[in-house]
Amino acid sequence: MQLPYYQRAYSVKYDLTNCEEEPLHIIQYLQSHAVLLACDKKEMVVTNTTENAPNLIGWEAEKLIGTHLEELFPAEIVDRILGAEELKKINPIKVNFGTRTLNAIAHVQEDLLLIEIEPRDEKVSSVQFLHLIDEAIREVQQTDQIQELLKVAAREVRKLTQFDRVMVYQFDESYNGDVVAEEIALNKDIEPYLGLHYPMTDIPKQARDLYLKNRVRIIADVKSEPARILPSTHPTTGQPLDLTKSVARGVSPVHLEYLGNMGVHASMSIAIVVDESLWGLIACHHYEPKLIDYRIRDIVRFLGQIISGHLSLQAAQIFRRSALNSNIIKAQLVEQMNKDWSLTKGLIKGKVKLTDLNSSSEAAIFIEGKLHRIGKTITTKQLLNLIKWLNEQDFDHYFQTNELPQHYPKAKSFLGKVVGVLAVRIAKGTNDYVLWFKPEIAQTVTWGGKPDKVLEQTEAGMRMTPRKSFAKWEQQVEGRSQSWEEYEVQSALALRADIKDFIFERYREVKQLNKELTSAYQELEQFSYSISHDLRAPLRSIDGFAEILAEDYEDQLDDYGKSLIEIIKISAQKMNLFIDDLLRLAKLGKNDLLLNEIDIIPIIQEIEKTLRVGEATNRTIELDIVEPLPKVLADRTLMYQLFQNLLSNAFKYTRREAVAKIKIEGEIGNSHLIYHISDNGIGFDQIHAEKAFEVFSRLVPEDEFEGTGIGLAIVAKIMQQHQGKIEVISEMGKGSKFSLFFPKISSVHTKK
Amino acid sequence: MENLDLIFVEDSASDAFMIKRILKKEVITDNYQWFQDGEKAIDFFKNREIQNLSLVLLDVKMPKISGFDILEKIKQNEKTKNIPVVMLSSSEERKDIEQAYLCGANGYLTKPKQFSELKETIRLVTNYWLNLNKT
Repeated sequence: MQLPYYQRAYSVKYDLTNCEEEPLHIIQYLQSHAVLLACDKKEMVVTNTTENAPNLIGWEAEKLIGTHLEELFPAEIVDRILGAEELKKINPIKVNFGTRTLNAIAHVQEDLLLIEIEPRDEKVSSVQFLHLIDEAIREVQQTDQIQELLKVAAREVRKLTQFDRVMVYQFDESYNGDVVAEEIALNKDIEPYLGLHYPMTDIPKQARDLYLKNRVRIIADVKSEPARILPSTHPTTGQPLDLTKSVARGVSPVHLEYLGNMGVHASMSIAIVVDESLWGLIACHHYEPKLIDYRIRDIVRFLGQIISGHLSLQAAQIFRRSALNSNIIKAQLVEQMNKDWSLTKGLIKGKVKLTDLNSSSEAAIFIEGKLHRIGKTITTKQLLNLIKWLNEQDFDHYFQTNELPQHYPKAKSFLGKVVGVLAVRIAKGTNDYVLWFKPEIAQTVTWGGKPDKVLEQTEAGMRMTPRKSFAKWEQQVEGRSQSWEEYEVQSALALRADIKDFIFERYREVKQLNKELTSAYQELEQFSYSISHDLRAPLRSIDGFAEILAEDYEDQLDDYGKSLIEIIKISAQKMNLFIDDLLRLAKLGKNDLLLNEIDIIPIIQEIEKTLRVGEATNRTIELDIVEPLPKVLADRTLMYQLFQNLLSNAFKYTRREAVAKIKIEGEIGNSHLIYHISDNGIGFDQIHAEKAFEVFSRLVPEDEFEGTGIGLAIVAKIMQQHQGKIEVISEMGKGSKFSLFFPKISSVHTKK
Repeated sequence: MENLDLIFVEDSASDAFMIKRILKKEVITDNYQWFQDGEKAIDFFKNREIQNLSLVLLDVKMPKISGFDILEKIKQNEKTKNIPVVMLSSSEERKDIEQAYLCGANGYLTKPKQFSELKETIRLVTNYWLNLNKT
């Protein structure tokens, strides 16, 4: 008893549980409509043939082996084959065997010449048919709108071949097929497949690879018994014959079964190749056996090539247009960054946004530990976790996916939100990113039958069989977004380069600024040195000579003259005070802070004592220290200077009050330790509060309240040196309240 | 051979005028010499045998040659190194004070801002070196 076809199709032991491994090109059969003649390129003596030779060419297979080609064909044909530069240019060769006129199709495989002989359809040479061919080529060439082109191609192929069904199949990235155009015979009851999806397993990888080498494939009769190659091995190597380029290669048993399950009796497929990969197929089905003459197959192969050309051109145009557009957006983003001198402002808050660069719906920047976002469908925590995960991933410059949950399981909670991610790492070794997101597109995919292959129990054990049902089967696809186009990745990488430049430039400028600040500071130091020397000398003279004048001319001066001299001396003294304060301000920051845990109560009390000495006796000054006052980590000398300034102000500006009330309180806030110094003095208008801390700014009349206008500037500077700040609340005639904020790190609780 | 109590070097004529007036008015000494130019002061020390000089007062910040330069010359010369030198400077900078003592100064005083204080300072320093220290 003969074994079933699926068990004898290949010489090598082949386990049918995985059709991805099925060695299609070394199948040991030819389809029944064709006869094989294989011979050595030089010897021209037949070494292999097929068992069906008698039926088609009237030669017994045994007799054929060892026969010279010249005994089979007229010398003129043998010469043509031998002399051909490229065999495909002379294919098919019209040959006669007995009364039959046949097509011989020759090709070379390594050292062998393989000639396949199959029926010839004389109708192809008819004038009407030539018209049909012209028309088909013209139609396909003239259509440049892709969707229309595919439709036209299906229609023209059907006109030429009269298949019951002609479909155009488009593959997705994983080679699942989608029927994007279809033409069916109207007079037959055929269910349309348009819009259906077919799983990648329907056309396994090695079948796809063969399509790249051999772009048209015909299966003339699914039901007929295939013709065995005799012998099935290469005459010298003993290996199975390589049928990669064969035009009538036997069909995979699994595929035959697949077609049989679909009810298809004959099929033809034409590869559409774009950028050297299989874009799709023109697939033809017939519900009866059908052989198409080689010449027509060659014409449809050519149609397939025209379509490939159109598609490549269109893809290139789309890429160019998108890339150009994306380039313009990128240039605008860079301009915004430079104008605002800020990465985040330029990319997130400008008129043109990061999301405009591609077809993303959301974007984010994570830089120096800070997150800036456009769109917030997922929470900040979810996004930060994603970034943490990205840190652990090994990729060079970018990571992209249109189905994040497949890579990052936690992203299952992003369903319905964003599941497409393009993440660009700004610099190697950093954890700074620019990220773009695409939303999930919930889609229902209608499959042409549930996409499973089924394990079937047979006498020979388990084997994989194609699905038997082709009834429509709907699947809900989730967790997937639109995929990232090449131009989107490219423009993201280009922007990354610009961001790197920007960061470097900013770093460089900050360094420059630092340098300038340092030199400005040195100048200031020089300046204060000059002040102390050059301003003081003339002042000493003014004071000295006024004194000498008073001493030497005491007798000749009246009281008025003496009082004028006194004014000169007082003015000189005042000028000296100015210089003292200015020098003090200039000196701040020159020395490092000497930080100690300080109890400020004794400091306040000491200052109070000296201030009270100079006070008039006709008013009461109540100085209230609300205990306990928290201790602070600060520089003692500077704290003395600070409270000296604040308290002398409080004394000074309460001068009009019969009872001056000065209060000092402390509190420990969330992030700061705060002291409040309030008085019931003359106060000032709150709108000038900012000005109070500027050098030489005075908010009160000078003739009534003496001072240099530098004191509060010194206070502010001291607070700044302690990484703190000072604020004031004031009201005209009611008083002022100064609040000193020290960062909490430097605070120490009074309670132990 | 001269017999001087005090030499002072001061580039400011006003300051020198005030110092001279104090020396005179407070009856400290008439036996002094004032140099406005530091180089001339150095020449003075180079070319003469000096006896009984009680004190040199040096201003620090002067054009061409500073008080420190003069101080160094005096203290490096075997013949003059024992002459007391007090700096009278307008600088309160710590580094200036340290430098003065490192160069061998016998004292460092900051020039007071007011005439009355200057008077007091000159009186005290001359009293110490011209009277108390002598005996």
